[in-house]
Amino acid sequence: MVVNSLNFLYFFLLVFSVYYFILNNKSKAQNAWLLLASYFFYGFAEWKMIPLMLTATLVFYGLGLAIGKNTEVNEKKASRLATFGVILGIGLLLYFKYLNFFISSFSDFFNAIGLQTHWGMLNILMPIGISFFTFKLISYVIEVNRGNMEPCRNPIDFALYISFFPTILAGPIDRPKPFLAQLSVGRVLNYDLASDGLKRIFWGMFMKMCVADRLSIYVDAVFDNAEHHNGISLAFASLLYPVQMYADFAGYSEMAIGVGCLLGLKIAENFKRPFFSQNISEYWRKWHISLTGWLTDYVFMPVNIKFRNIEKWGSVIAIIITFVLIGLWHGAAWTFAVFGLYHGLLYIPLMLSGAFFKKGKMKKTSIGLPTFGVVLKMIGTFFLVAFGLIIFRSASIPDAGMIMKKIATEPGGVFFDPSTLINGVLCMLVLFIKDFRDEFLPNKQLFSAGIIERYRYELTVSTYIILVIFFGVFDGGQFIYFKF
Amino acid sequence: MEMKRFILRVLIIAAITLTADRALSYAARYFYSTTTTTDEYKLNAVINRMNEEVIFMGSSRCHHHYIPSIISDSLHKGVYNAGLWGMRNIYFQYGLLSDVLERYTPKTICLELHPTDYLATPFSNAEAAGVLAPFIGMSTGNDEVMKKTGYYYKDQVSYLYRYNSSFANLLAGNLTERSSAVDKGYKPLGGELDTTSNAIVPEKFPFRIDSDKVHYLQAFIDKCKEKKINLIFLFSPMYATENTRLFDIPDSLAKKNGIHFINYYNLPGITGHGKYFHDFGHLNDAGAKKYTYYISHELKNYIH
Repeated sequence: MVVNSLNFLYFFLLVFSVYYFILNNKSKAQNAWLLLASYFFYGFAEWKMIPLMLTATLVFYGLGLAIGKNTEVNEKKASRLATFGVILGIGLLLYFKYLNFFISSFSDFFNAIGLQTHWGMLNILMPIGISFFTFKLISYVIEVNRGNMEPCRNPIDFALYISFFPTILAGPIDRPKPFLAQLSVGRVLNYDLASDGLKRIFWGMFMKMCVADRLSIYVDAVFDNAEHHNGISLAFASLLYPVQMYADFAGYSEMAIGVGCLLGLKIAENFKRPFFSQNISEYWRKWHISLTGWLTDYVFMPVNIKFRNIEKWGSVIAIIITFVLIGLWHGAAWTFAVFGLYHGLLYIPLMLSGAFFKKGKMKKTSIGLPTFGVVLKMIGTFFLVAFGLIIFRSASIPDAGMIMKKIATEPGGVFFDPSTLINGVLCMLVLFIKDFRDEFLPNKQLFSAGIIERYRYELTVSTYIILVIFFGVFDGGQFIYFKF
Repeated sequence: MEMKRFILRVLIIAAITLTADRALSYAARYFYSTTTTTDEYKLNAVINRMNEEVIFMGSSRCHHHYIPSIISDSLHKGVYNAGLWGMRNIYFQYGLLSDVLERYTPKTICLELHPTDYLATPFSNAEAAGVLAPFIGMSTGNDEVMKKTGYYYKDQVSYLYRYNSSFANLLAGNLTERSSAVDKGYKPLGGELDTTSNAIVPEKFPFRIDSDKVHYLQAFIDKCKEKKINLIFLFSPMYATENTRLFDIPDSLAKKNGIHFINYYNLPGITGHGKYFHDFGHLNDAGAKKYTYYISHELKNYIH
């Protein structure tokens, strides 16, 4: 049941109606209702994994209470319990997501050095959303142990934090403290928040259905048959793929955040127009913010502190480790690890020059637009990202090498699919204009008076709906991030 | 209070959206009718303008295999090729025939068959008829297959949705001229099949019989009978062939309904000759000419 489907609409209308018309302002009942809805939603996608999520939730709920009980009286015990929680969370991920990868990698390695192994793969079903909910579980025990929050005493609230249906399948990865705090009070419909949520849902649908799914027709046709395409077509598809990824994932995030707003719950932001970044460091501050923020707090900072005696090189080590983990978080394959390593390496010049530690203001013209030099830096950053995504998109490292070689050595005419490209590029343009306006001219409005101003919100949402109806791909694929 | 305001806001959005939907669908319908190229032109021409006595229907193998001018010269009758590429199976053909019959009744229909018309082949279900969405309401047959596609009720809510994803085609169709190579619906294919790099094996169809498709094939036949249309089944040459029971269904339907079935799946002089093929299943222009001369001679026996 994807968020942009009719099934979800029926499901959500029921959830929304009961939530506000029957249970209005009754926090406990609303939370219980949302929990029930969340488990139904998850079960609809994969009912077999409900016991796993339920057990993990109960174990971590108990751990949270135990850590909270010991933080002041027995700090060491609390710390040991938190470590156990972290290991347990990582263990879940390792077992379900990475075990077969390690088996095949070690098997390949031993075979390569002449030690014949015949290890078979295990038949493990990977639970949908495991990368998202295990990160929530881990962050909860760490935050309680650090004393940043009180342990959650209500198991329903805690279970809802872990399983909240808009975010369970593909994030954003909410932090426990701000989310759980919202559950402690009853919710009545907040007009402004709900309006904002509705708009974000339809904008997210536009991003996913009009941009991502349209571009994916072209990108998949080229990348999935890379051996039959020349370098120009592959280069062109490589430039479209970052936009597809962005529209797909940010589109889902917009919808998830929008659904949360309609329910009176603010969900963590995940994207801030990442392609308007002047360097790779700025890009990662704007791309999948909830993941990079999580890894910054729980991996980069502790490792950086651990290696602080070697100064900048300590930060370099910390960033490389963090980015390899970011890469591997996406999936159990060497392509993801190399993708992460590539991004980590791109940070080294920034760290050694000190640019990483500065948060300089962007140079703008008198009317607030970026200068020519800034635009060039943004284009350069986009190319670096696009290059890295060739590795990410490829089935294997040799495949990525083949594509890069073709791009460098095989000229020719570009594969042209006019219908897909005209529709796709037009929608890309709409996306670009909106992001550009939000980034550089947030206060500039067309028609600042009259009936258009009066109904600006309604006209905007209607425009998004009409764009989806006319340009949307209605039989498009799943969201890319569902498989992570 | 906040809830009432919010519901009012949602209702205003719905009203604006519905108004825009109807207005824009009107514009889309206009540009659909004025397009001079692309599939939209072909469908519009077949449903609203075609008036020939003899028409050829079918999927891409019909579209690229039958040259109306050659057949017309041979039969001394008006001929139109109503084939459309893109796995247009029997659901589409039934809906299209229903629309055409609302306006006029051709004397002869030559239906180029393909296994997708009666076998449960992948990627070939009722959705193949989805392109008939702009013609919803034109005939009961069209609406019937549109309901099978699952689009019908969505298309009733949003008229603009009937033109979903067609912007690029409408733009191209209104800005460019129709190719002079197009002859009464026939579209030539170029190139020659490279027989050196491809293994010469017949295309396999290891799929079960699709009873729903067979039902619609029979319904197609019944509609022709009802209008006293001379229906002929055709099967044009493939590059590679095998002894097969591929034709059990059309053979039995033809016998049962007294229909002529001209089967040139394996036609000496064309089958196995790469120079006449664009790919394994489609003749190029040279192949289409050779085959059309051949079939037009044969058709004289069945079309009077």
